[in-house]
Amino acid sequence: MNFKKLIISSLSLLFVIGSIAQDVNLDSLLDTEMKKKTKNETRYTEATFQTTRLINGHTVETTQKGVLDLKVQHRFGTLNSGLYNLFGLDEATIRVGVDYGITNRLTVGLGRSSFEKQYDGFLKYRLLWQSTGKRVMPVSLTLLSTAFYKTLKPSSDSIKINNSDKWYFGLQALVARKFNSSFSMQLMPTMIHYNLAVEGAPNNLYSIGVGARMKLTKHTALTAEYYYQLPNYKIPGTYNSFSLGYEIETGGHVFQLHLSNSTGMVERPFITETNGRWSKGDIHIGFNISRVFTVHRPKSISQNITPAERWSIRADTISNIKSDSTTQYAIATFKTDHLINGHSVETTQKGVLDVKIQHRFGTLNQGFYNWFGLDQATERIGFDYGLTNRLEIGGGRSSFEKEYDAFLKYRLLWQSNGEKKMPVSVTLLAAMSVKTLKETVDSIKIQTSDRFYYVYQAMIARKFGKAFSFQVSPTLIHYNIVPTSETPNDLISIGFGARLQLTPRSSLLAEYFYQLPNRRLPGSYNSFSIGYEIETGGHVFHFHFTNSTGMTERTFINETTGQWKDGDIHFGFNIARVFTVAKPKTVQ
Amino acid sequence: MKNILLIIGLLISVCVNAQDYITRNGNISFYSHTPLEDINAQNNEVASTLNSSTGAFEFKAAIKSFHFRKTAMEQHFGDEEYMYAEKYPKASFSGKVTNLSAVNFGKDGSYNVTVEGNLTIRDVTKPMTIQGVITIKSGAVTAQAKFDVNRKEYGVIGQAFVQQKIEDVIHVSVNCQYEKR
Repeated sequence: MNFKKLIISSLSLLFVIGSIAQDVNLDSLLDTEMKKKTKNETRYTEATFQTTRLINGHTVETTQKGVLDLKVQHRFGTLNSGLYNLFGLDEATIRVGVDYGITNRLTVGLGRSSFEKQYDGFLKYRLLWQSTGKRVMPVSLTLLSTAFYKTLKPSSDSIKINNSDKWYFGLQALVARKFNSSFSMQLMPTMIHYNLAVEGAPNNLYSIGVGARMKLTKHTALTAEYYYQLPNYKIPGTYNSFSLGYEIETGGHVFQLHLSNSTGMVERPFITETNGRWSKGDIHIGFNISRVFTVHRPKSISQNITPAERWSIRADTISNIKSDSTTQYAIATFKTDHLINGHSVETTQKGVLDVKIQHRFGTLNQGFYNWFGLDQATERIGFDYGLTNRLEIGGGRSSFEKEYDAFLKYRLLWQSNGEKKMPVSVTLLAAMSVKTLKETVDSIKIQTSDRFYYVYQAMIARKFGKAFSFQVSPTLIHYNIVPTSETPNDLISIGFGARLQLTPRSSLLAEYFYQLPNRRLPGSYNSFSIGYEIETGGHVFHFHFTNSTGMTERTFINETTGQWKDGDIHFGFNIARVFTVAKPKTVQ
Repeated sequence: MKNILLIIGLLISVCVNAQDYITRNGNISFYSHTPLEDINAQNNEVASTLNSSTGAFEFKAAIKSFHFRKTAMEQHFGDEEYMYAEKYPKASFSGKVTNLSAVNFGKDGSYNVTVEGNLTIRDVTKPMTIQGVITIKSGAVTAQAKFDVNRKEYGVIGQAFVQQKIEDVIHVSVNCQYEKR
């Protein structure tokens, strides 16, 4: 009896011990599950490079399926062209292109370079994708095939060119490996085929490129690219292309700044026709901007490029005066401190630096060959700073006539309602500019004082309701030297400007400057412009059409030589970006 | 003799009832809605246990296992500015059913429960009370709950330019099916 009891009790005890709930360690459970998963899946390496271009050439990366990547590439003149040419900035060539991801591995692209007026189209296929895990692939391999069509007419009419001579073809195999999150390297064996061989070179030119990317911080990296042309398979007198780059990823865009001895930005001509040498200072500054648009929502592996939009109203960067309970001051009569060519009543907020890059292209009537004027670009780069909310100082340089300008702007009266009533805003402008462009003929003697111009302007504006603003700007421009004795030195004009808000972030603009007869330069026309501005992501983008080539008061008000009716219409666009240098103390 | 049998019987009965429920494929999802963007994420690899005798609930989710429809979001979710997955690879919840007596694990049905515990995201642990439903059907146990988390309280901030695209309050849903261990 006792023995049976013992067995029963011990068995029961064992049973009890065996089934007492033991605490599960969830951490190790989760870890084991994760390990099982990762062993069974293949992890494809992402972002070997940040975008589909290294500096000049392609990287193994392909555009995500359904994504359109718009690229605007700039290449300026050489640094050794000196201060007069702003170290090459006055000579700009651009390439505008779009890449589209048909699938995650197949990209198709099209583009046009103003350099040699060349069109290019390509197909890019990612054959192998570096991966770890279940399937291991040590490198990524992308095949690229491009066709180039050069439309630039030969310098002399006597040179006969067949259509087939304008075609070039490129074939590349891009092999890359991402060694770790900071370093990637790529090899690019290349063949460029010339239908019409250059004297001294065969039709097929071979080269091998090597490129690398090194991450500096989370959003910035250094890049380098070198193409070695095989001897006997290169055009005599050309040099190997070497470029150094710096890229920043910010707000969904990738900005690439670089230095290169090549003028071209696509395989032909940058690999095979580089005439510059680093040792001689033939170094070009360039920068590329890339912006993606998601056309179709993708499902799988992607690039690191994310579209981002920042929706902030920019009225807080042009100065606001504090409205109190008794007086309401008008804010944002205009969205920025410029209308189209000319100034608006607005002044930059205290402590804010506004950087402007203004572009003015050639005229539309230049036709398709010159891409309706896009091949001829002049720029003005300017800086405006708010010393106080009413006092602004600024300056800039225009590549057109190589003119430097500086100004002071003061907002004397501010439109307001309530206890203090003011029907309009009034701002005064005083500016000075220096034209440094050398005369074409040496025999024309110019004294330094002849290069100076002075501008005095009063801007009177009123904001009507929320959507419409109107401005009148009587202007006086003093020329130290005028072309004929009948022309007075003080040229007087009156400007009219208007802004019509379409949506909270976009508006239409119009501007017209009427020169008083007897107070104008002979042969000049009145400047008329229409524009459209959009505010997105903290930047204000501004597009316009105008008959004026210049972007400073002197050049656009008094020296417009084009007429709308003749098709002398220039397309232009401006970008402005603000930086808060000193945070203001009072709420503005 | 009778006493020993009684004690043994009690012990056995206690053990039979204190069975743990466990899952390795629990589902936790969350969404955020703003006029600019909708964000949706799913995690189907949540590890969780439920102790039917003490009411103890435990959840652990790996940050890397949250999948988004937009791959760009998935890539940035683990970034330092959001979940910092490199340093904090998991999020967890540890709590207890306060009205455990309302649940009869032996009988099919849906039981409303209140769970009190601590939610840990990144390095922040905060107490949370969650209303949920435990459903018993032919012996299988399902736990479901919906609750809101203020992401900023846990340090999930993100870059300045995305603030308007992500709600401050993230809506979380739990749906776990347990099996007896």
